[in-house]
Amino acid sequence: MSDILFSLDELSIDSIRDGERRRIVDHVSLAVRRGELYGLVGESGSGKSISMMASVGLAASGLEVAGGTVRFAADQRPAADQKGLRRNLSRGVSLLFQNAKGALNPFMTVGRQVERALRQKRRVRDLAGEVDNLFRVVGLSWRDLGRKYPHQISGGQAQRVAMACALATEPALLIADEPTTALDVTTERELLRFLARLCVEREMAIVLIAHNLSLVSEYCRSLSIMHAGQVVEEGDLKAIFARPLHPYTQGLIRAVPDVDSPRELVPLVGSVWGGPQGIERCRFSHRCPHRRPDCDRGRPAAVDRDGRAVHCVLYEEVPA
Amino acid sequence: MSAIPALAVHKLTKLFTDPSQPEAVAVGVRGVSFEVGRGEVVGLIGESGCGKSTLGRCVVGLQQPDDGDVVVDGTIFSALTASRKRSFRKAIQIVFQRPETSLNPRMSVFTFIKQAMRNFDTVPRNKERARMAELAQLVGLKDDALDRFPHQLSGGERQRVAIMRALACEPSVIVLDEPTSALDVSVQAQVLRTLKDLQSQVGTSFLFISHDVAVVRYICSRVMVMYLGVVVEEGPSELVLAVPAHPYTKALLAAAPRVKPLPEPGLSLRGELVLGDVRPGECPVRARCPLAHERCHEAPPMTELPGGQRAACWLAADQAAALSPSVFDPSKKVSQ
Amino acid sequence: MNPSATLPTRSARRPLWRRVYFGVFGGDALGFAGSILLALLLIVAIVGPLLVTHDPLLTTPKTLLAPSAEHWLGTDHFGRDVFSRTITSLRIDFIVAGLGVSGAVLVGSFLGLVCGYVGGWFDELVMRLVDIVQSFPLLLIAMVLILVMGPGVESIIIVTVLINIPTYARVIRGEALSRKTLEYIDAARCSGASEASILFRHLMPNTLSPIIVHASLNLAAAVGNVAALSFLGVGIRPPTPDLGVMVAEGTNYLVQGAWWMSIGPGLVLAATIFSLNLVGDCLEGRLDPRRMEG
Repeated sequence: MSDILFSLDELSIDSIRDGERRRIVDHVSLAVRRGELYGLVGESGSGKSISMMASVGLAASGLEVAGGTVRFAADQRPAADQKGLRRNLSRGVSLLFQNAKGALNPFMTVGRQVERALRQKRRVRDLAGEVDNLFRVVGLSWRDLGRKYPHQISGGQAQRVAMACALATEPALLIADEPTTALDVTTERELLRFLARLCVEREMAIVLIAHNLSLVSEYCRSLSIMHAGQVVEEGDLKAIFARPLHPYTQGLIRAVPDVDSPRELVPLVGSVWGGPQGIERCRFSHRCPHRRPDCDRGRPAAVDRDGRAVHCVLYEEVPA
Repeated sequence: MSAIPALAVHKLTKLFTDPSQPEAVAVGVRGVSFEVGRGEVVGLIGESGCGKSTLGRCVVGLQQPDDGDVVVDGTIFSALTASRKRSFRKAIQIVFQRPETSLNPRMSVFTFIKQAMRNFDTVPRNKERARMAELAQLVGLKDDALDRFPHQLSGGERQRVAIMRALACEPSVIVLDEPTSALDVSVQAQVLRTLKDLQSQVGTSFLFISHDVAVVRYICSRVMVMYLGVVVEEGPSELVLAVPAHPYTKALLAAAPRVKPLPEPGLSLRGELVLGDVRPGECPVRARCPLAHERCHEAPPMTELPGGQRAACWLAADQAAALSPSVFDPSKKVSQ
Repeated sequence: MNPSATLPTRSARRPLWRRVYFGVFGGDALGFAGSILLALLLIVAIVGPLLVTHDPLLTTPKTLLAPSAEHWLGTDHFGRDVFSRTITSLRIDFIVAGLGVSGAVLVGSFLGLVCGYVGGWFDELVMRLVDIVQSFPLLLIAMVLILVMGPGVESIIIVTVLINIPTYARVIRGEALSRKTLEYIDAARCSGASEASILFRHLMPNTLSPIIVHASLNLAAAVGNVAALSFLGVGIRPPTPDLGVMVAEGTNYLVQGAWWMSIGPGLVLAATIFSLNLVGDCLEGRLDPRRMEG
């Protein structure tokens, strides 16, 4: 069984604006194994991107890490040590962003950018050959595209170039933040399949951040679902989809139109940040059809059920 | 039953050539024809570059077509003079994709929508507030939203306001250009549900443009699939989206994200859309189609299939010929 | 039953000055200080006539007296009270610069709006004229215009308007260009608005936000320009008091040791320009990123 390469333990982050403090990531824990394609799903406001960015020391200004630890390979440190975490970016963690063209340098040809990425890692003997190889790995041809600038290539191609740059340093962990949101569905599928293959071929761990469940269903093995800064359900993807336990997961599945049938949608009520503020509670309770007074007494603890952990009072064992 | 269709588009053409690639085939809309009946919800599916947004803009008169007609309620809308267009355009309205820029940041919701009511004289002045309240309820907004400004509203609320504005004109047709694509999953569901409900209540025709096949499946009874400016397949949703006849439609469906993935990978297109690879006069999908063969160098005509389904593909033509040779007549070009 | 940790969401009632400091100024200490200074100067300028201790134009035989209890900033070479003249000229300079910039804002914005929206030959023509105006040195334009119109306060105001039009024309044109393709403009069109209505009712209000920032920085420059022109003898002419004129007159007597004639008005001039700049910078920081929409 592959061991755990990367983990977050009780990560909490506050946002500080105009002197006011608000908790936007609330004791988030997850664990990613080597060679695993791990899905992190949530809507906007779920804290999924912020959590992952903070885990590599890139928490935006105005955000303060309030607690938790991050472990990557042999290195374990408090999440508040942003500077220390940032060093992981040159020690085996790479990033992929949503807007590929925006992430690439507009004044440099794409070939050059991959070249630079390669040189970052180590002395390269056959630079041209390595660049050519990387292009091929991501499904592009250096001869066709190497001398082009980012604005001259398509979105899908730009994302592949970004991938080549990310892979140049031979990372053990790749964090992909909604890499396909801006792309057509046919291109999206190719890229996600490619990511899935990478995991297997290179024993690379990938955290795939996505905003809807359907995207991850085909490619990920494990999954974490976040809502308003809290993890609500996480674990084996097949187990979760076969029998979603958390009311939010169930609600999400019912609210998404099905391409294979025109069944009626059951939208989730309310909005992400409604409900009572400033107390520790399940942050989905104000939208939940099964709401109980218990829901507001504190953060629901993780309960292990059928290969996944669910954070909901509905599943907590009543003490005998 | 044979009432004048709410919207009829005849051989609409609007093309843009890329100055840096003068040899490549032009993008836009290429001789598209279709009809939207009263109270019908027709979907237009396609990926980026297929021309669906251009088509939407031409239909509502925000862009002047190079050729062809847009007929709304029997009047040739595209041929009207600018001044007549201004008064006539109440019949055909549009909802845009991006909530951030669909509303005027300096106008309250009430003021923004009041413009439409005043310009088209839909209600007397003293009834404006009441009518707004009615519309707000229809789109699922609370009364207090009326006096808010866009920055005080969420993305979902802004889209509802945009829908309200379109409805305030009392149109026969509303073009919805990816109205929920920029919204979160759960907000999308809320807005889609609202759209479906109000459509059945008010009876306005919709032309629903989207790249998301699942959304189109949910809300549209009839659907058209576009690629590089032409309609490659069309027909009732439950046929086209369940048993597609065109390879592009098949690829779209296979690639669509699903909660429960299909057992087989299905068809996929090769590579990406590269304009330089498409020759004029050939089937636009040929360069990427895994089923392409000799005949594909000549653009296939639309083939009638059972149930009102139509596809522009030589293989579909073979299929139809096999089913009933007497019905299929390859020389008959199906026109609107 | 009790929540284990309570995070306060509404801060306890903080003192007013704190709320203003963070809320309005975003903690920008310099901007805050600059605003206070500017406010002081404005108050002085407004109530000017009430503060003067002596008639600013009255010549007396008590020439070149050093600052004392009676003449807070001493007297000049004509025996006039420097302090009173300084206050009066501050007022005049604010008025001239203020009117000048206001005029430039009105004319420049209108031109820029129409150019940006309409485009075509009109846009080309007007923008080239604007280029021409902008490429001439300030002094040259000022002197030519003064020659034509004669010296005086009105001429200076017109000069100020003219040389500042290009700034606003360009800025508003840029705003109009970037916004005219936005969906809410199309929505207005679909709602049956006429082109004129779209331009003035829908587009214009959204192009105006950069004006405040530009105007405040512009005012600083305008005050400086008016003073410079007067210093060179091309602007406000004596005996009307003006900060630039006073500094100019004072330089002649600096060698004799009558430092108060130049330094007093000089410092006030510097303080005015400085505070306007600080306020302008602060506004730029506060307004730009917030008003990203529209």
